Amino acid sequence: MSSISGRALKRLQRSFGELSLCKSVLVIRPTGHIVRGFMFERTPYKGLFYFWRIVFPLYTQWPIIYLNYSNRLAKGDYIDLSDAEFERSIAVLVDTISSELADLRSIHDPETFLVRFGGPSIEQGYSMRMDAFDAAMTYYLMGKTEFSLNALEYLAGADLALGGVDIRKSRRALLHEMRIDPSACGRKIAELRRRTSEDLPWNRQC
Amino acid sequence: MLTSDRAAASDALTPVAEVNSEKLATRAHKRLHKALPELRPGYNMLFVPPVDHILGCFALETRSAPKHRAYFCRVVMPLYRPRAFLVLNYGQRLLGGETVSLSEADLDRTIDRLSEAAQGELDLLRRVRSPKDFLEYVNWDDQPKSPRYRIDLALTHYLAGDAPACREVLEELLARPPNPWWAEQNELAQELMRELNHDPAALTRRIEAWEQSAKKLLQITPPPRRRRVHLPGISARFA
Repeated sequence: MSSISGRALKRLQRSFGELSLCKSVLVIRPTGHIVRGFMFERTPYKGLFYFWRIVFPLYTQWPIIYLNYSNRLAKGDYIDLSDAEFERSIAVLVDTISSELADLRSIHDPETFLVRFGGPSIEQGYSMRMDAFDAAMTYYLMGKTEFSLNALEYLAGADLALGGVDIRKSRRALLHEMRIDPSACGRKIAELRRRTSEDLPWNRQC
Repeated sequence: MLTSDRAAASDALTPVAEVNSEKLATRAHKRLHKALPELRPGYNMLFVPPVDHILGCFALETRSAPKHRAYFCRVVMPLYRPRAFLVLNYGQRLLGGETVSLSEADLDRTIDRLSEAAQGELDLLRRVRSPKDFLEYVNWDDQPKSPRYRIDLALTHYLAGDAPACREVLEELLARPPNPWWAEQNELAQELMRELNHDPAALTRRIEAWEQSAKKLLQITPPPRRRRVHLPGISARFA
């Protein structure tokens, strides 16, 4: 993490007691299955950053912070953290975070996550706006195993594109296990959460 | 790493290693081509010419492999598909599924291994040329029963000259309870069925367009024509 953005995150944290600074991410506590928070994104220009509100499930298959459910704040403009503009930018960011907090707090479990990001067909077991794997895990956590199996069947029947063979085969294996014992999905979620917690920039206290 | 691109996110398993490994794979493909000149270079693969409806090729798969390593794959796939990218649906990883090193120090040995493995597969790839060959080559009972695979099967029947079998596969697909996740593929199956029953010329045009697009994207082009060289003093007949 850039020391400039790190300094800014520390300053921001002082203004918000409920946020934990987990390396490069200001996380809203407590984190259940869904991570909510704020982070900077570097740009090619020294001192200039983008500022994001991030949301994603800890039961992701990707060991990266992916932004499917996130937004650039400040209308997508640069945030100037150079010495000359630092204090002014921090004041703007404090306002920005304040206006986002209530909304982010409302996304606190798999159900609220699905309702927010799944699209209009979630009651029919289809979330056109959400990654199918995320949807499968989310439905399972909501107790809707049939919907979870439908999404996994879709993934398992997809092409084995070169570059993603292993991950696609692992989905086939999960579907196979779930058909025998649906609780296999719970074990998979626990495994993914463990891996995500190790790989991504925070620890379990966050 | 930050990414807002779904496709990139879904394949970015080793994002940092990726760039280097891809370059190393390109170099390895070139070296392998020198060792096996009967293969032709396409986009990130070496294929067995001539290619009509079915592509048979070898490819190094770096994205799922550790840094500077790759799986060596035999790919056999129909080109009459809506989207042109290499799939391992009907192929397999060679060398027992082990990865090979692409680093400079190991490259000679790696090329020897790849060359030997490819030689052992060439007969098979030469045999699977037509849709009829492909139909026999694939064990369809072992494949997923999803629309993507069933549409491949249906069109393979069609191109092998068995329209009733094609219709039967599509009918079975369309009779299933709808799964909204497969809406796009079900719609495609409906269109194919309509064309099969009422406008076979449209179906043929569709298949040809898919194949042309696939050949272009995968850079499966016919070999360049030899230039006629006129050498002074030598008869054109022998030039």
